[in-house]
Amino acid sequence: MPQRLKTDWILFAAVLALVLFGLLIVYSASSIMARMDARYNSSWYFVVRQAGYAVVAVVVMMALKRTHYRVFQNPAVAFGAIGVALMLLFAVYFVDAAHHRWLRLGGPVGVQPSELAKPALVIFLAFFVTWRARAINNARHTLVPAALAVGFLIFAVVVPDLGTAVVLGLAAMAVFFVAGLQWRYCFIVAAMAFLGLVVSIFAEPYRLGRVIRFFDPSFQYVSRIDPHGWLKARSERTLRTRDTNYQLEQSQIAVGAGGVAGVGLMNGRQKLLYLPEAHTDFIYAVAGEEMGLIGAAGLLAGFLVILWRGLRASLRMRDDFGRYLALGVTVVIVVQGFINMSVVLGIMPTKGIPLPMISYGGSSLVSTLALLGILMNVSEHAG
Amino acid sequence: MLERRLKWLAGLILIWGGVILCKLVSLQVVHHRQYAGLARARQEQVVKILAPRGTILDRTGAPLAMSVPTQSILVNPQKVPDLGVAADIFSMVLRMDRADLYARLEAARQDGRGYFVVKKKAAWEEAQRLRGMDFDWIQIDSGSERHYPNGPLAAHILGGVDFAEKGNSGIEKVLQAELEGAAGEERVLTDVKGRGIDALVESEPKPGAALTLTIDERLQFVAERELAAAAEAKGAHCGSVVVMNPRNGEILALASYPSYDPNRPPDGTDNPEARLNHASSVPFEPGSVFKVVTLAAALETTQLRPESMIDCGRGSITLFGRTIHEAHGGYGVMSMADVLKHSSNVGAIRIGMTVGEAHMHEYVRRFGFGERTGVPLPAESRGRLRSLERWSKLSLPSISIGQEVSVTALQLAQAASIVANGGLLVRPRLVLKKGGQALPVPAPVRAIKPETAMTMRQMMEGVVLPGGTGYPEARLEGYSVAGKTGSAQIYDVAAKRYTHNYNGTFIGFAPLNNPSIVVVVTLNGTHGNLGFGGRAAAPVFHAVATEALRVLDVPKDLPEAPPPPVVAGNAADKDDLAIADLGSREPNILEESDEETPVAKATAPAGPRVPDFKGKTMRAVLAEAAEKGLPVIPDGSGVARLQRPPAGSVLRQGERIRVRFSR
Repeated sequence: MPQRLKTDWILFAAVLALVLFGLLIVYSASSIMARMDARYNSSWYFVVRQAGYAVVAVVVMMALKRTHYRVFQNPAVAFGAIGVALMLLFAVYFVDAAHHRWLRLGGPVGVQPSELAKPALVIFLAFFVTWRARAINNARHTLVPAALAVGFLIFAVVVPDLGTAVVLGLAAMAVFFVAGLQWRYCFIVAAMAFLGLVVSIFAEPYRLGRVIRFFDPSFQYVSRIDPHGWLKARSERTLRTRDTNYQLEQSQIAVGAGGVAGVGLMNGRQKLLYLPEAHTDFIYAVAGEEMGLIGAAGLLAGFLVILWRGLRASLRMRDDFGRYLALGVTVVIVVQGFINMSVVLGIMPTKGIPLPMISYGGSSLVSTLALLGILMNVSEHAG
Repeated sequence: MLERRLKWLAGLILIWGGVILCKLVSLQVVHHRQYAGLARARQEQVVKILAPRGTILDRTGAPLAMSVPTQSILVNPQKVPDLGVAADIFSMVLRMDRADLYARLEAARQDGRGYFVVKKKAAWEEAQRLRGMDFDWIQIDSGSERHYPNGPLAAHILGGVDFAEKGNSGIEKVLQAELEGAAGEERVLTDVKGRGIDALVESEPKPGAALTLTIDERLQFVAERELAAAAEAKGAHCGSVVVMNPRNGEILALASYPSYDPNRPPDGTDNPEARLNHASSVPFEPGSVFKVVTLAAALETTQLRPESMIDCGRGSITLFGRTIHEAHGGYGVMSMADVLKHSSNVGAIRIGMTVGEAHMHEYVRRFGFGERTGVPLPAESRGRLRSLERWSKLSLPSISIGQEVSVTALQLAQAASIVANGGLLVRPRLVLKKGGQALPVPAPVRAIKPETAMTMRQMMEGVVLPGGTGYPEARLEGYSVAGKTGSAQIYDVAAKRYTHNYNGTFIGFAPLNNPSIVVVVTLNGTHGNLGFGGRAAAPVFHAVATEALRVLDVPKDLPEAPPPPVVAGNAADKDDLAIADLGSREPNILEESDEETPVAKATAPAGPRVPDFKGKTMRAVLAEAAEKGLPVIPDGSGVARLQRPPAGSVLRQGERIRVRFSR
């Protein structure tokens, strides 16, 4: 019987607070919409479900918190996880022909395989980097296989969910960067990632539209380099169905209207169908409107606490696998959180990813808390 | 190495977090006001809360005009998902013809219209059912509609409102500001589809003030009924009745014929005369009733007394080369009182010449002619009175007999009130209370001496005594009466001559010594002898005054006696015409018409005659009525005392005979 480990109470409290805060905001953001929508017909529809997901997610988190992180330091687990994630991603491509996003498990229960890819990637990266720690800059035997595996996973995620792919890519880069990747490789990876991003942006008209509109809303500069209007025509092809500038405008109005103290919980108005996806991807805008700078900065602080505890554990760990595991979890969660906030505040073009622990959505909540359960265990070992 | 890289990474992420915090501060602190304003502009709609328009009541509190809430059903044809379904729903709920509605909806959609009124005045339940269906393409607008519960009753006083419920005629127009009230404002929080979620009342609506008129609904009804009946019977194309309290100026009834229903919006088929208020807006030459002014002026400014003898020149007088004739026959020398009683033109002119131009003009002004009475009715006429400088040599004799001036019935009522109340000019009033607050009564102005008024009353009583021009039609049962008849030939402006059409006028008041009411009746455009003032207007006076005295509960001042029988032979005496041709070289047209004998029977309308029930028991009355098939409404018990319509008159279709029994 190993000695009883000391729980990282700061991390634990921060996670629990964020989850409870999330439930509150989900209720506030969704109740009116849910009541008025004949499909839901009850103001409690979303929050009851989210509470159910939270229970499941906390159970998973507690289980993983008590599981020694080293059980994942096993090629079978690492490769198995990434294999399962890839399999599901390919399955969903054919099952959900419309969005390639949802894998229905009968009735209303379904999972998003792109969410499963996050823990799979984090475990795989930690395993791989630990395994090849001494030859991390060996292009032939480390980088190419890693790039293939990670690239394959990211490519599989790009199709349904560009936002998550960006998160995964950044996490992989962060882990390799910390593991001591040479600067030239860093630049090569960054350039490749950028290229991939550009290709994926041009591949979908709505993405192109989002990006162009973000940098150049009136097409003033784009028309100079694109005299035939090809880019403009392409970016406007799906404008009517996905007018994301509208979303951005509405979310900034919501946050701005909140002021320092906010308009009060439940008193937010932008969620009254002005703000699409108020309870999912744009929930940060509702928090900013109803609880003002205090609430929005508080959420930011919650993520910074996770960053602090995660990087602290990573720094203190003597064991490489735990170190990279903690780093990967931290980067995935914090980067996703920051991307979401940046999108809501108009700092970045729309991505369409949820705010971890806050947004409505079962798959995201379960996978996030699973990752945090692993992080808690690592943090306990870090002391 | 590892530690350094981790710090690099931590630094990058912290910078990112700092950027997020900066943006938060920028949005929520620096630009908070701007975004809050943007949010309000998008989310809130300021909606007007309609303030109900003030109700108009008669003096007893009966509603004459009121606003009722209405619901209009609208759709945007471009946004209706399925016109067929829409037509099905509307035809079912609103009970409309489906095919017709579908065709109109289809046409509206083809025209690209974004606004289609399905039903303007839907019942509340209908609107409620549609609300319950909760289709976002159905729009239900709440409004308000003016309703006149009595239809055409008092239409000319009340006026009407336009589509926006703003007064466009009558009291509704003049007192628009008081009636309108002020709409309240409500901030409605709306969702993205414009549906209201929550409402915050910014300012409460201020309902319009209720107006209580001086009008008595019952009297108004009688005045309109009698006026319409007389106008139809005598062939008048328009006319008016004014009932006024001479002491305080309250107008108890003001009727204008022809009338209209203010509930119905005007359309092309309307008689344009119907919308005119003939009592206040349409002046006419008063004719002989104006002799009251002439004589009052004579009493005050000359040595003439009622018993002073006037040379009536055997029926004609020649002035400045023109000869003026009496209407009928001629008189020798008679007292001033008799000049009024018989309405001698020559006598009145002689008296007027004695008064002189300056005094005549002054007294016409003192009696309130030539200026508006100030009642709150739009387009009130001031009549026409030339300034003294513009009078010709013939003006004084003309005005002495009521020509060359024009007056309104309202001005006549005001003038008659001066005589009736002892010499005070009392302005007619239509509004008793505004929003429950009684309006102050303006101080009356003395026009003539009380003695003059008393003397005039006595002389005017002669008009309704045997031999007078108002006898016997203007006599009232149980009350002493004074009055004056008048008939003016209507001047044809185009042909520049007087025609065979007449303005029949009667002014009168009762009871004689302390008059409670003044009644003025005018009938415009009557023909021949039938139309002379005494003949056409006096019966209306009789009916209206009788009803007014009964409604006001005025104690009788004469013993009740059966009225003297109508003597058929004295018709000529009552014809009371101001000879018209003062200003023209045409021979007096009435010289030819002198031979005309009235043929009353020929033009009498068909219908059963009303028998005389007076003095009979109820059983006898009912038996007689049953035998003749006449509808009778008995009232009280004992012996029949009063009956309406009076005995001998023609019973019109649908009319019933009211018989009042008492012991």
